Amino acid sequence: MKNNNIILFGYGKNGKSVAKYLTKKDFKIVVYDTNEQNDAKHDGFVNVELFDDKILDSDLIEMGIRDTNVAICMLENEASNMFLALSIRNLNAQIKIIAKSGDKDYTHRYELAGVNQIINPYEITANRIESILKKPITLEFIHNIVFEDNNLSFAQIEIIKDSFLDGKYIDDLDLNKNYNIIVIGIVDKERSEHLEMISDNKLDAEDILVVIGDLFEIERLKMDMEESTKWKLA
Amino acid sequence: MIAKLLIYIATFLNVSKRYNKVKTFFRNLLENDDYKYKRYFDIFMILMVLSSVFILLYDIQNTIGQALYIYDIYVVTTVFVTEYLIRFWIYNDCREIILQEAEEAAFLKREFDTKKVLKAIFLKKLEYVTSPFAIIDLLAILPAYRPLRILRIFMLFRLFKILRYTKSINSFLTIIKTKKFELITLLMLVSFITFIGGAVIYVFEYHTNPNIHSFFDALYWSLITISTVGYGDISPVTEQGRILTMFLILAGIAFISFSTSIIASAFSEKLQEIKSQRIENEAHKLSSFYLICGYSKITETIAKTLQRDNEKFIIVDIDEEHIESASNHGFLALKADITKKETLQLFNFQNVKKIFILTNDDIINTFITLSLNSYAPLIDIIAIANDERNENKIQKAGAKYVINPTKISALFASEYIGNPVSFEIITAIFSNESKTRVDEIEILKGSFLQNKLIGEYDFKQNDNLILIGILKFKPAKLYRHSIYFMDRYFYFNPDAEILIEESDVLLVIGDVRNINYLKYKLQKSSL
Repeated sequence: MKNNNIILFGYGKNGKSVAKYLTKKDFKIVVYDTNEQNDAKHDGFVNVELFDDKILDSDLIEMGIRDTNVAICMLENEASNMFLALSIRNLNAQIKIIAKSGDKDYTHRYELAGVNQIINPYEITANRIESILKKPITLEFIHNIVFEDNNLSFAQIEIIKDSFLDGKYIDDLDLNKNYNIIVIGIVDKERSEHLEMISDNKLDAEDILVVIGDLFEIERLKMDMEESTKWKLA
Repeated sequence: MIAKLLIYIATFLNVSKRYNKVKTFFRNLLENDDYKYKRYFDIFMILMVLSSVFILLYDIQNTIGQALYIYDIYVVTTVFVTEYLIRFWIYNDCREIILQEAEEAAFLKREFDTKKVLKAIFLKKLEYVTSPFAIIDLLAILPAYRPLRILRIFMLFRLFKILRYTKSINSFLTIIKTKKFELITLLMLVSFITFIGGAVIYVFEYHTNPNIHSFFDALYWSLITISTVGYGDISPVTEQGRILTMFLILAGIAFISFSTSIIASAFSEKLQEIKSQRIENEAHKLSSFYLICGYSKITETIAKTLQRDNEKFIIVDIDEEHIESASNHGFLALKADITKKETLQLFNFQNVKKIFILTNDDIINTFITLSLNSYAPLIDIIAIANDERNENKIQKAGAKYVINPTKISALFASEYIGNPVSFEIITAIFSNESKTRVDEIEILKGSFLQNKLIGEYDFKQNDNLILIGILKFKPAKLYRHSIYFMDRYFYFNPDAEILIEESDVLLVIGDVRNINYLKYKLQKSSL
């Protein structure tokens, strides 16, 4: 996924923050903003462009929206933001659109406009507070996995054809004992594209295992899997 | 001699635990609104008053039985007299006056002034006897003396007694009190005009009007006219009288609208105060609740969640508009400055579960955090930092959790782009809709998992759950890499040899029904 181009519209408070975290993860972003005052250039974004609020389709095409993978709409004005999202979806049916919205009442409208993921800061914050109240340990654990350097991480492992995992049941593998990895879900290509949390499926090639575990151990599993294909062929 | 006796009694009473206990009990029962039994006492007294008034009214057309008669004369009266005497007793502490004088006399090396002390006591008690409520109480006792029928009218004072026991009527009176000056002015003006009107009609019509027999009749007519009631039993017959009537009626309309507006404005001024007083009372009574400081969009969302879960909470904000909008959503909201001591004292902090600080201003958030942390250091504070740079300042001020909405939204977005799978997992874990979720299971004392090794219980086999980790208070005996958080030790994918102890928390993933069933089994076995 990395190095896919991302266009960020709007460099306000939220836009700035998103840009910061994406840059940290080595994503290349192009920033567009209506306001010259917003100092995206100072923050090291080379591709800072200005654009008009009443954006035309031709402008978007010029920006290369048809070849972009992700568009992030972070304009402060809800109406402009929604219009922007709709215009983008109109031009590119495949693109992932993320939009910020401060009002829950707009959620459905954004969905209609073709937005894949709505970011509502208030709701996210409220959910976070709810998690603090109800699942403090889980929250801390996830926080440790995702944001801290404990070597623990979520990972996806694609089953390689003819490897030692191909055709086995998850329960028989004892991955937690042998690799210190916990399988928490699977994307079973035979059934659906979506993640299923814990199920005892037979693993087939191209299925994707979703695991939590030590990064080194995950690498080791991947390597062993590749090794085993050679072994099987031989 | 008397002086010595007085001092002896006072000292004795001062140290007597029993005496003080009894006196405090009656003080609470009669005067302390927060005392839980006062309510029952009030209700009891109200019922007694109502029953005695009912007996009086019933008695007029019918004859009452012996039992009711005895009840009315003896029981009610005894209760009223006792109450009066107790109130008389607890009004002040006479022994304090005596002891103070004794101390002063000893200090100045002069004689104990018995006269002065007795006078002070007398004045203090007289102060009680002449207070309006005491007078009402006394008058309410009088109707018990049956031979004088005129005393029966004082029965109505028993109804006034009810004022003592009800709060809402009291607050009505306090409102009227705030407009004392205006009302007195109005009253004087009305009596003045009534008197003039009465005098004029008396002069003009005493001889011509057959209905006016005295000056009292003239005054009566004047008041009936000026109040625009106009019975018509006395009406003017001369031209002069009629002209006067027209003026009186005009003046009357003016007076009535004036008095109405005075009372109405007093109410609207006081309404907010009464409302917040009611909320204050409610806040004081809340048991185990969340305290939310500041009403913002985040508050609104959180409050809805809490309401859905039937959790109790109260929102405190200094802004009138915020409070109104919160009340419109049906939340309990109080307009007050939470950093003020008076506001803090309204709440019973032992019942506060957690504190949320959610205003849009970081400076205010920091200030509130500091204030609350110094006032109630044991309660967890969850605060918002609107700017990332202020996050650690608020943390230093004493917030246990600090959340920056912009930051977590940005993390949310970048997680969605960067790691769509873990994004999906995290949303599933925290959402309440998905059936599969991660949950925390606490090991209760005496439950069947206590003091077992991880390897001894197969979570997968027995409950179809996956054990992700265990959070322990004490580090495990064997060497094993742990993550340290929340002052505890977390073991990811724990070894079979790790011991499960009391109060440890298991982090499991699985179907919500399986999780709940395991929780149920643990609870059952711990009983």
